[in-house]
Amino acid sequence: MSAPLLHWIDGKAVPSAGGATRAGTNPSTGGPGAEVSLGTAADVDLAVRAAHGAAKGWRHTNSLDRGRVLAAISRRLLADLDELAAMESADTGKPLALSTAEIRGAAEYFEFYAALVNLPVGEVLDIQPNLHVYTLREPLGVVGVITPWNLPLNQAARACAPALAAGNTIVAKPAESTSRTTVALARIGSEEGLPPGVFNVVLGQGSEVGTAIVRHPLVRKVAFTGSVPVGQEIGRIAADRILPLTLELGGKSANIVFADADLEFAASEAVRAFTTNAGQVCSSGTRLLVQREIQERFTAAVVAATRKLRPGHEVGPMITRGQWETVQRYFRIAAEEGAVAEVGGGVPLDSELAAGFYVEPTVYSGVTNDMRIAREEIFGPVVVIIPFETEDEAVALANDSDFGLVGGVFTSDMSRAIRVAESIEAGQVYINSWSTQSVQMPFGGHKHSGYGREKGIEALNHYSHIKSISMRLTGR
Amino acid sequence: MTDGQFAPTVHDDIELARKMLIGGEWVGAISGKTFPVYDPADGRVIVEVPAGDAADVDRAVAAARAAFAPGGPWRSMTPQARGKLIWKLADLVEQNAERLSMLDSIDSGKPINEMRFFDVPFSVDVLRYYAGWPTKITGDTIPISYPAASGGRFHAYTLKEPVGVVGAIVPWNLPLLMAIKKLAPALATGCTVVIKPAKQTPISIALLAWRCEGSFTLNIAVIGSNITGLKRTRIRPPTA
Repeated sequence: MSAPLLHWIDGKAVPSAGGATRAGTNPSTGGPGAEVSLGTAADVDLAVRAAHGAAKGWRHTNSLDRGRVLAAISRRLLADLDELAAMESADTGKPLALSTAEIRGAAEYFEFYAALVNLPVGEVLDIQPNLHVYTLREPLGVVGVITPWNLPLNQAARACAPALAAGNTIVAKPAESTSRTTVALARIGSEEGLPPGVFNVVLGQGSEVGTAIVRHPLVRKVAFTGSVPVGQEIGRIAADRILPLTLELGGKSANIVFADADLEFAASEAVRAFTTNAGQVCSSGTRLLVQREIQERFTAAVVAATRKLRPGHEVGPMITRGQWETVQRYFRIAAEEGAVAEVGGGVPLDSELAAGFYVEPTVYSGVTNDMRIAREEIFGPVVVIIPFETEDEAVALANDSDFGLVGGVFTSDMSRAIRVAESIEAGQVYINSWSTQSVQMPFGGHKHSGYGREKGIEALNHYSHIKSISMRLTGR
Repeated sequence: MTDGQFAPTVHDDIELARKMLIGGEWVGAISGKTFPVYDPADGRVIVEVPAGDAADVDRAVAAARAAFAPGGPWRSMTPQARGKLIWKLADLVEQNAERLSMLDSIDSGKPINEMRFFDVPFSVDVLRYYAGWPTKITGDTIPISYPAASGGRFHAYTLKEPVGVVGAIVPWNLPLLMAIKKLAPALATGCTVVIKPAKQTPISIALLAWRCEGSFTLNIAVIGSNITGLKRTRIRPPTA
């Protein structure tokens, strides 16, 4: 392998203070992957100080000039699309088409927020005639962005673009197994006009680097995407610091299919819902609630569509050996709980795939909503089918979950579609589709799925705070 | 109007329509002319009301404009105080619901229950809704980029200001409600108002104006008449 990937601090590549590195693993082959620097609190301190030093200048840069830099970053992400997509697929194992789509999405985040820099930032309030009273939205300062390995560049862009548009500076920490595209984003940012220190990246493990970011006294906000236990750990540190957070955690999202739905389309969407990115997506539709009168027919359609998805072709590997073992542990739990694997439930026997971290796309029936495989986020291509009789029962099952990220409703009765969508405890609900979302739509969770919202104009409110100013015009 | 046509209290309310309320005074048309309002149920004359013309409009607009003068009590009022007045107007409509219902029923001919269960309660809702708005009318603060002063810092903001005198021309199908739908938002934003009710249905507005006047001074100039000149001449500001 080539030289290890370095941190990006104050506009340049910087090795770890301690010099430690981590050997990567290619998830498709189990062979060697990218070697990355392993940072420590000392590297985080260097990066946070750079970000803090750049904060005032960036905040007071003319808003349109800030927007022009973000727009230039968007164009560069598209110009470098092939290179970035190849890098992402090598690190994550995901099909190239998926990486390409995700990086296009990253470019959209920068394009969208570039055009929002001149959004009115506050209000002028009418209190009484001799006072001029107004509010301002101010950047928070240094924002920590801690992202996972499932959509590396896309999720970094999702947090960084609005944070930069709102006038903050950033210290980002990508997952150690998928760091390359985030460093590439920081480098592109510097090349396209972000002043040194505005966008920094520190590589390494969450326990070391992530913790140091959350603890650093100059960090004023952390956006974290990842698991519930780590989100809780960050929350505990943040409680002591009174640090605002955006937490985008897990899901066990219900996809409700009524008998009057377009069943053929619903089946294809239901399969896409749990197999996209090999199920390694927080918004996967992993609980398929099916009206009992169509249960047999619909299950057969889902199983048939799932059989067509071949590991190593349409479906990539699990990201790491650890995640691969986790999914296999849930296969054993499912068997112990008495669930029936209608398809899948193991690793593919294909010898070409033996060295990679592949699992079979899996559909379980014979499942009740109290089983662990119906309650816990597996983060693999695994769906459970649970029957229901009535609309009320479907809603109750959907909401009987620790999570509340996404919901789906398939029906031809539009009144029911709206009733159910508004009854589901989740940050977003899709009707007669799955994951038809875009940069304009705010995204986030209820309950253990987190709080705060990313995307849309709403995200800017989570990267700024409001100040009220009152000025006397006349009199004493 | 035939004696004994209406109950004495209703008769008194109807009598209010013989004058217009302009600048806090009850006045007839400058020309002295009047015209009859008919009861559509039997064709009988209910009351003779002033036949205003452009001169009366000038007088009403001048009064409304004077009430809008900067530094005057209406313009100096806090948004909270303006909201309270509109809330009070809602209370007045509610307290006088039966009387207002009777008047609109008499001169529009609609069954009184339509007034009791729709026009009047809806009018109250409209007023209460807009009573909450004066404290929430805001401008924006805007992060401008000024190319000629790159790097400069600016305080740029917008204000939503009242437009001034508002003319409210109201039809006969929902006489009270249509007037209030125009009156409430205009008052909430700090405007002053000249109302011209329909020639067929001017009576309920006269009662409303009278009840307002009796309780507090709303700077509304109500011109309760058929302004025949209105179709030919525009409402224009008074000559100074």
